[in-house]
Amino acid sequence: MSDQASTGGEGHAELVRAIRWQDAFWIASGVPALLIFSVGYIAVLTGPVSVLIWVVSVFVGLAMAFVYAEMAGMFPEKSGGPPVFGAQAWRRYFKPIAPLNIWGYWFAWTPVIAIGALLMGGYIQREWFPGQTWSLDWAPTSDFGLHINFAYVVGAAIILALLWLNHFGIKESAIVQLVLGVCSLVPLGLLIIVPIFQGKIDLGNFTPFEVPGASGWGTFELVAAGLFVAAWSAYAFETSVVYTAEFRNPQRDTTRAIFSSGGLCIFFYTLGPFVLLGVVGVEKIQEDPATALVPLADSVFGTSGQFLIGLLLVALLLSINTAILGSSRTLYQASKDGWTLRFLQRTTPRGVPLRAMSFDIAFNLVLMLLGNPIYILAASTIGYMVFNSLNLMAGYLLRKDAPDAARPYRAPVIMIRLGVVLAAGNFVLLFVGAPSWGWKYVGLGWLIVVAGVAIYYYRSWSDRRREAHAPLVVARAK
Amino acid sequence: MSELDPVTEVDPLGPEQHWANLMPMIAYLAAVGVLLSIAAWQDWGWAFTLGLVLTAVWVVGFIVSKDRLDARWFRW
Repeated sequence: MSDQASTGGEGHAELVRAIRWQDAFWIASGVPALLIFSVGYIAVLTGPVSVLIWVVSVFVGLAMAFVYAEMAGMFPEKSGGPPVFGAQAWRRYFKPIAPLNIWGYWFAWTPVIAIGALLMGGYIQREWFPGQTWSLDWAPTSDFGLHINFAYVVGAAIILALLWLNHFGIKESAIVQLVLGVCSLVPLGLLIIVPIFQGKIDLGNFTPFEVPGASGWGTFELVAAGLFVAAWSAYAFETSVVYTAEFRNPQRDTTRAIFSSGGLCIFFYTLGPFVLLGVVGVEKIQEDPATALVPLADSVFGTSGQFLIGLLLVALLLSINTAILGSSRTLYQASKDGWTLRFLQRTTPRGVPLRAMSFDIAFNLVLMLLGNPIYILAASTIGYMVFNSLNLMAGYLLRKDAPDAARPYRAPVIMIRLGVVLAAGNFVLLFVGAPSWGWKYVGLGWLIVVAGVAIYYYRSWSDRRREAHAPLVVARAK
Repeated sequence: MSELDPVTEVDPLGPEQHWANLMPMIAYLAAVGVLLSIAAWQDWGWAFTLGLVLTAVWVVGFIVSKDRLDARWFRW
């Protein structure tokens, strides 16, 4: 597909090789902070079992990383991450699967921008501008509406500022991420480690070790719902291979980037929920699952207030920027390969996919009007599980179709086969886990993911039309 | 590679070839997905069981298959 896709028009359409694996590690360092988005909600849903859910989820993510690392090494010229590599396998079998895979991945990542910006705006309003309670609302039904308020305006300003920061180039973006990463992950790490040494973990908070108020298939459904949403955060360190085409040495940097990011996530995703539940307990978390870290910080540092808000804001900023950088490159490469809208493949002279980035920001400014972060997250996880199921199969297909292709990193056969088993696991979570968060959001998630296929057919039609008109244009020019 | 090297693409997969015809598999998975959704909607234990068994059958059919180019998915 890539060689057939039209580049369309004059200008730049190439990224530049400007970063090493350490830079990708810092760009992906926003992933541990994604824990903040849903740790409270999953604890409320599944009680003490949530600790096990996070452990399982992050180790499944690590097992999948073996497959994704091999795939990324096979396509050192491609940016955009695992779905772009998976699309190369699926296009040989049934082309609509490829855009489904890519669009699902993009829709999984891009709402991090909207959710993070709304949360930041909300925290800033609550902490420093409590009087700013105005709101412009349009709500046709009781549970659906569009809202513009102070939090929206602040969030929009933040993501527009990040768009400006990122237009300088990937190297500069990596430096910004390094600074944000150190400023947020160190305090977040202390928040996890200090209570262990203070002896504040109460093992009584883990008994009885069961899902509250559920039995039989109900337990199965709730555990699946927990695993479903946890995957959105705990698998996400795969974003470090989005930058394969920007690595100076893609063969070496790709595997180092994904496994170093995975190591960082294992620390945060195994210990974080354990310490939160051990210190705070489910009952306290239930009071406000969105700010579950507040009582933990109260217990550890004595004063939450300004310190905690500062910590959360930097962590959220880090996550938002990780999403802006990653999802824009997915759009860019998908466009270049002919899977989505053509105009997204242009880059600036500095090699920044600014049009894709701007499209991302515009989409999120609209998404932010909806509000209600956890449900946006549940809808976007539909896309993520569609992608993970299809992409793990793609890893196996690439082994079958191109067994002799150059692979700078070759995963053990057992991991490729395990990938198929995990694809089945993600497939089950997609259909059994999602409904617990609401059928309406399941429908919204599928609608947006399937829209990717419609856009692909539009692009194909548009490319054929251009090709048909091309000789006419050349003749007129002569 | 230097910082200014442009990124040029090559297809590492070589000539187009299909390991199997996956259309039956795609249809099969779509049907299992619908079954699992109905199970979650109606809380039907038998539908959960059947959906999980059919998913396990898919895994076996996908992994345990012959490597002939003419081998079709699920034809052992």
